Amino acid sequence: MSARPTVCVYDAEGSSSTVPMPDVFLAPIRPDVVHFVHSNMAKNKRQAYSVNKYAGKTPSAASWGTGRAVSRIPRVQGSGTHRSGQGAFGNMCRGGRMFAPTKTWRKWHRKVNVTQKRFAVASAVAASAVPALVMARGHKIEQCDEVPLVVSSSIESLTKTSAAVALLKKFGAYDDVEKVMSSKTMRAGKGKMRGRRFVARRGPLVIYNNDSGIKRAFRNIPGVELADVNALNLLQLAPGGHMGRFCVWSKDAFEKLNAVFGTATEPSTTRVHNGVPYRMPKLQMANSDLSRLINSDEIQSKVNTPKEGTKPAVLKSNPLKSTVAMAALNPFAVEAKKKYAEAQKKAEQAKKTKKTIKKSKAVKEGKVTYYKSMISKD
Amino acid sequence: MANVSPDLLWGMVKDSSCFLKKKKISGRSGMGKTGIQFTSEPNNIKGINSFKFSGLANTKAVGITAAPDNKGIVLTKKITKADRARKPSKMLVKTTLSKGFRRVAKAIKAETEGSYYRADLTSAALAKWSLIYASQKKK
Repeated sequence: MSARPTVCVYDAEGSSSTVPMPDVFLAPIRPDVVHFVHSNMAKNKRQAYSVNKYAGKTPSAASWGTGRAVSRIPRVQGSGTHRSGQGAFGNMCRGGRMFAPTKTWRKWHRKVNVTQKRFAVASAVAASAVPALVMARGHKIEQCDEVPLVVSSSIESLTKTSAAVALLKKFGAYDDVEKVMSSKTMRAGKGKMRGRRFVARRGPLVIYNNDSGIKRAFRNIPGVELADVNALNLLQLAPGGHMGRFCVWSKDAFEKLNAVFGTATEPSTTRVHNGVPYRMPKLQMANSDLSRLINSDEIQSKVNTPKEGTKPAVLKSNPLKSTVAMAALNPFAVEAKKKYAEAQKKAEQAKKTKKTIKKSKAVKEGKVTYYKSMISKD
Repeated sequence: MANVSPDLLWGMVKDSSCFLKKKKISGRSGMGKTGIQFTSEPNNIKGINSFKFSGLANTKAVGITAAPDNKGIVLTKKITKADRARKPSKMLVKTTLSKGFRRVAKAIKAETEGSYYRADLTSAALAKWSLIYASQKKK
């Protein structure tokens, strides 16, 4: 393997130093795991709801049974009001209960295995370093200097939002914030009346190690979210289950990643799995470049040589449209075509001369004299 | 990096990407037949959602857009160096070509076929140039 990649650390003057890429960025990128964990984790913020358990069940009603030439649905008892005798209870009845009334004891929440969650988070962090995936998620990073974007740790002690905005602008990360601002629109549906009036895209995720003002500095910028490197959340790293959130790291947070996730050889120092230090997921394939694998000497030396005797498919052409194809089928066709063209030309010529005769002066004059002779001079 | 390759990226990007434009042939429910899939991603010459033309997944990709002053084109190519691949602002090399139809066509050929870049994209690139040229000629 080539030399360990390094990442530039940016500060107010530009890039001043580099840090080695933490090993978690080499974790396997698994959209399936991320999607599964995300869809289950996203369920854990839900609140129970249901219809009133008596809704549609209040009238006293009983079926009239058979023989009355009406349906056997339960009917409201008594007389003296329009309601009596009307169908009740059934989901097809006016004023009846809904079909399969919702219950508060629905299974709202899901348990997700801790190892799976950690796998998904490692995967999402690794994906955040791939520009293609970050762009495919919809982040505007064309002007961004580097992905992952690592900023010197002085960012953690910023206290003013104006300074935070200036910093994002400097590293080409503000385009993404502008995208968020322009994306703000009215939410579709009933959420509007339930305190969720507007929707907007997600912007950059700022990840810090130590909050000495950074949270307050960044929290009012539209779309920007903050995360502690010790408590990374998949819901922030892969919103909607799609990996590749645009992440801005403080240098301290970036350097902490090796301790949090461990390296390829060393386990994590902060996380434990069943009393044993947690280890990062490993790559199943050292090389996932399919065309490179297929064209490798190892595989090509084992592949059978192409079998002989198969004719390449002949392209069919329509003889009615292609003269070449027609000539192959009917050698006379070319001659016939020529003859026909000549005959047509001759006919056209003949027609032309005929027309000119008609229009000649003698004929015209003849017509006039005939007309005059017909009209008497009396 | 070792954990990503064009093939893997394509697998992830082909069905879910913010650039993807899916067209339906029939049905409004989403269950009907789906038609051709287009994409609005940068560096995709044909705008077709396929591995060959994908500007996101491929390490080598060519993009052609009309120049800002509507004279000629801007040709973009992805730089294949590994350290540039992580730097979005320096990932592309841009060339503005605006010197007559044939000279631009020759330059496009040189950029795509030359130095073993992407010979398979030459015809698509030339087709796009002739379309842009025709649109720029109209008054």
